Amino acid sequence: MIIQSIEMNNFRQYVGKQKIEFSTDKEKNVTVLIGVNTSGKTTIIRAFEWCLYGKNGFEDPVLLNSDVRSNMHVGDTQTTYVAVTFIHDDMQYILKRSFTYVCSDRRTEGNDVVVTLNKKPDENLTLEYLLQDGQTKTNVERNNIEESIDRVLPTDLSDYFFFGGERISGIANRADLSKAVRGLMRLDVLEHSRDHLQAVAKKFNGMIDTSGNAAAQKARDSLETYRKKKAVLQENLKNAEKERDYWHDKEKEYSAELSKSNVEQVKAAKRERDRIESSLKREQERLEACKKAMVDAFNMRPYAFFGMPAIKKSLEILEAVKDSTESVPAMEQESIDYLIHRGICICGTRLDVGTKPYELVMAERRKLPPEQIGTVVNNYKNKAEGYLAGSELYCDTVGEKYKEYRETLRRIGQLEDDLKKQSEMIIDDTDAKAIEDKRREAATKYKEAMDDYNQINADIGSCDANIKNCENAIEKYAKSSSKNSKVARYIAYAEKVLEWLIETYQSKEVIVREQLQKRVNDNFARMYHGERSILIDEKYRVKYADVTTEESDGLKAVKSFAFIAALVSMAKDKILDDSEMKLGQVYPLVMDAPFSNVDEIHIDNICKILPKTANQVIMAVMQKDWEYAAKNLNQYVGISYTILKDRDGNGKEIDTSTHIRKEASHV
Amino acid sequence: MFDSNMNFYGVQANYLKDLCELRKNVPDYDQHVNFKIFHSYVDAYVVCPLIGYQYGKRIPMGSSTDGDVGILLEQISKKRSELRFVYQILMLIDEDSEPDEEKRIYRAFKLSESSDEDKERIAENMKIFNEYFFGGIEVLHEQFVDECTDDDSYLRRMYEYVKRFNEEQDGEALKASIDSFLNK
Repeated sequence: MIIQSIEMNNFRQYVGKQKIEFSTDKEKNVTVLIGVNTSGKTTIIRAFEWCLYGKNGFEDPVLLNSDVRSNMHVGDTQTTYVAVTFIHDDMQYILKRSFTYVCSDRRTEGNDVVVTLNKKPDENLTLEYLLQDGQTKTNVERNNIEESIDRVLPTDLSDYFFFGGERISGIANRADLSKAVRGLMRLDVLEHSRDHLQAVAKKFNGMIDTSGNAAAQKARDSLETYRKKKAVLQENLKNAEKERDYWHDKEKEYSAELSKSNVEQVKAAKRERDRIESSLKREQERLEACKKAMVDAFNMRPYAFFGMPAIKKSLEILEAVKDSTESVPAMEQESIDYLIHRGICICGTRLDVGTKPYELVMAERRKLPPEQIGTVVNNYKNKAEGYLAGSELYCDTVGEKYKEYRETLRRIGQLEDDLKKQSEMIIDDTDAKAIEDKRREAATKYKEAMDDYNQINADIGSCDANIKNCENAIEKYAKSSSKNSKVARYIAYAEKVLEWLIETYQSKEVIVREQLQKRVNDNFARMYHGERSILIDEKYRVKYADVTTEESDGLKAVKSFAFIAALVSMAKDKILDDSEMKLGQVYPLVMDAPFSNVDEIHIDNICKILPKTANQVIMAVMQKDWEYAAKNLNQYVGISYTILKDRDGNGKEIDTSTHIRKEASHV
Repeated sequence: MFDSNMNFYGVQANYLKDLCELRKNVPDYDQHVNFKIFHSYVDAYVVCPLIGYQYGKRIPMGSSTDGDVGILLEQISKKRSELRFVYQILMLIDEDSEPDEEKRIYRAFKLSESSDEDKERIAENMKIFNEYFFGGIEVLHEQFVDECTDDDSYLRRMYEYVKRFNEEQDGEALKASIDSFLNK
């Protein structure tokens, strides 16, 4: 959306018909409206809000110019309207909202004339767009206007583009920015499709006729139970998450308080405690590694070590039988087999099975090739040598690893003592003691809450697994039964598309998160003079990476500027677009007195960045702020206006009547 | 020999589980305490028979109702040559199952399973091997699982066990005499 112009008719102090055209130049994309206090700068932002979203932010809800109003007589009608002309997706739109007031009463009280208007003015809202030919106007049906505007620039997000200086500091400190970020990046489109498809798949699942199959019916019943259980668990998870975050924040808060404490000794002790804590953590990690190394050493060829007595004995036996391996040269087992088969030895003795001569011949056979005992024994020895390699180190290595383990254990004990000592030093100071107690309690509570949270998460995980199993069972049944085959095919199709959507969504969200963090930090580093780095958490909240400290409104404003500039630039740079998907959008930034809380150095820095990040910048500023801003912004200004109060015959300013003058210098 | 999945039954099968880490692919691996003295079943299978022999402990296989455990061939294959070596040692020296030295030598070195007779003999020998395996498991279970309560006590026991064995058996002297046999 790029705003071309706004036209106001008898809208508040803008008497008559007044039109402001905004710069749509790509380079000189800034339009400035300079005015003194109460001249009507804020009214312009409100005119946008009223026209686009019907928001009426004035204390006196009557929008009609008060001079016009006081000239009305009973039965007279007067209309005020605001029309915004803008370009969206290469089409020109004109949105016009009007209120028509009827005068119901006119009285004179003393010197004043009191004009009463009908309570509810007639509202009229039109949206028309110009076709490509540049002349045919087409009206959007009344019922569809709000929806259309919401598509161009969602109401939820309007705060990020139309804002006053007093509101800006709050933007980056909101509780949950994920909806806004997703909306701006158009990720919500994917999100909606995903939710829709999930519902579709579920609906199809419900359509599977399980009657007549006990197993499928049972799975369906269980599915219902698990789904209910999961819903309860998810509710619990939310609570657990809140609890966890609460205690985490508390712990950090107390830590920060402790570090703020004036007592130098406490500060030093805290620093020392933090140092010991991190050493302790390292040693504990090392301890785990030592344990592992010890088990590894124990498992390193233990048979060679524990087998030593047995091996020695086996070698002794083989040594002794070496003599009995003496055999008849050049004779083989086959020769004996022949004799056995023949039944008579060379010497004529009978070789009947079970007789002594038979036994003797067989004993001889065992010594002969191919299974010659001498060779096998040698093989065995060779193998033994290989298997025993390194066994001489076994006992020493296990001992060494155990020693390392004990040493690490001792260091941990020492560090724990030191830690206790340091904590006691913190406790010596009465105020700090109370805070330290609270901090410790918060730390414990945080740990407990974290455990709860993890447990619930695990429960949900097992619930999910059960749900999946039931769904699979039903689906499997559906695939096999002919009456359900059509539905089964639909489900498979929906699931495939869903899978693709989720994958796409997740990959794009990763990009958004990384880019946002990078860009916010880049912007912040360029805007803020100090050294601070910023983290984007899972809800897209903006946090400082270092310890929480007090932040001034000015710093909050700078942070918000860095955030908004990053968001807008991401949309502008179309970071999510690919060949299949166009998600990039252009957004205007419309700001009223944006620098009211920001000091001059920061104004300087912010002005260097804003015109480059946004497609269009419209700002209403006070003369004194503009003097700082002009230095950097002037080169980007396409059009500038001065907002002037009208003067009466005596040259006195009239509060109820304002005009806008286009300045020649930028025309 | 050592060329199929092995299954073991009896209370010692459960003892074995107590001594070994779970396989990493068990779904709830993280839920278990996995500080154990052996990395895997097959690691225990290589050393326990020797420990069983050392303590003169042979335990026949029990029934599957008391416990069962299996070692996959895939695991066994990784340690096949070590297992064969340990088998040969036991077959050579175990007088309890075979007093005749000549026959012990024969059974230690006749490893081929070409005839039914061979197969029967090797199955008989494997039974002896596995009984010592169970014996070793029982010894280690008594020494570790029954005695140790936490990681620290396990580690201390491992160290002491190795050290005591080395002292009792006079590891240095053993090593020297083994070397002298091998270098002859």
